[in-house]
Amino acid sequence: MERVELETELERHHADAFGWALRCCHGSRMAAEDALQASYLKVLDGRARFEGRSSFRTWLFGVIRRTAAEQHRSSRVSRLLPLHLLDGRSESADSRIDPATAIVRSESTRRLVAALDRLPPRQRDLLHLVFYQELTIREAAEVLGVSIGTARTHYDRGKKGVRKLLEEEEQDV
Amino acid sequence: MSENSPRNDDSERDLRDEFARLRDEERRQATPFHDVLSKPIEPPRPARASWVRITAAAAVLALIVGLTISRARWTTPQGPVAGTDQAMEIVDLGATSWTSPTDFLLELPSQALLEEVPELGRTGGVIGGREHPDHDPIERRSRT
Repeated sequence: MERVELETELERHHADAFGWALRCCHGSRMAAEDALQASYLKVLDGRARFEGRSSFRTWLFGVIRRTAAEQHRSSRVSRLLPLHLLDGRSESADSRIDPATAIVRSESTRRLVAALDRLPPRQRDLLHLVFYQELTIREAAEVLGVSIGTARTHYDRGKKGVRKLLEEEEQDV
Repeated sequence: MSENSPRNDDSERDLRDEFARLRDEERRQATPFHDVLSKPIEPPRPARASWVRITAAAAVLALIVGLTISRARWTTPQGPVAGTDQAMEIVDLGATSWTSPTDFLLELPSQALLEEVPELGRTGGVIGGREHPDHDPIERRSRT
């Protein structure tokens, strides 16, 4: 694919990719933007190459997931060893909290996000990919790099888990 | 239900609706594509800063190693110092022996037979299924 074509494809999937990046970065908008930018640059520079073995969207989600995980790991290391203080750099995006840029949520979506945050990461990702991105379980399994059987298990457990958590929250209210 | 697609029945309608609301909210607030792509990238760290980091890391490592070694010295019992009145004990490892406490389990009732070869004409010797006359008390008594 040519660079122009790639850019068009990325722009076409940007809204979905933003939602997925937000999920991969635990709701941090700045971290999500950094992960998205790094992913897009990987794609445009050819460091991540689309081979056509799956849909472009599924493949892009996989790139974003891995990039966000890399950034999360490096931010954890920099939190453990605060070497950024030595050369006067700011902290990594993962640890930056900026209320001005935070996503504004309604009460019902806030409850859903809170419930999702309490689920194990695999279940949370599966539910997001299936319900939010409307992927099939097979496509979601490809994005997460797991077997379809494992994906189905996480999907079923995730559904039960999120329903239970939402009910608990309703009772508390 | 298909292997590849999730259930699309009423039992999931509630979750689908919740996620649809979340998706609409986030899409409305998504950072535009070109803003994400043209976002300023964190500049690479200057070389001097890298040296500062490496030096700091080396200093921390040296401190950890030093502390570990000095702590090990404090806890290890010290032997007699050469040139002092304390006598140095020399242990000859070749002269030491050790017997396993479970060796007796390997001993057989007829262990002696396996270790000693009976000699003809001596005590305990057997000729033709009979003991030697010199050692047979009945024979000895009849001869006397």
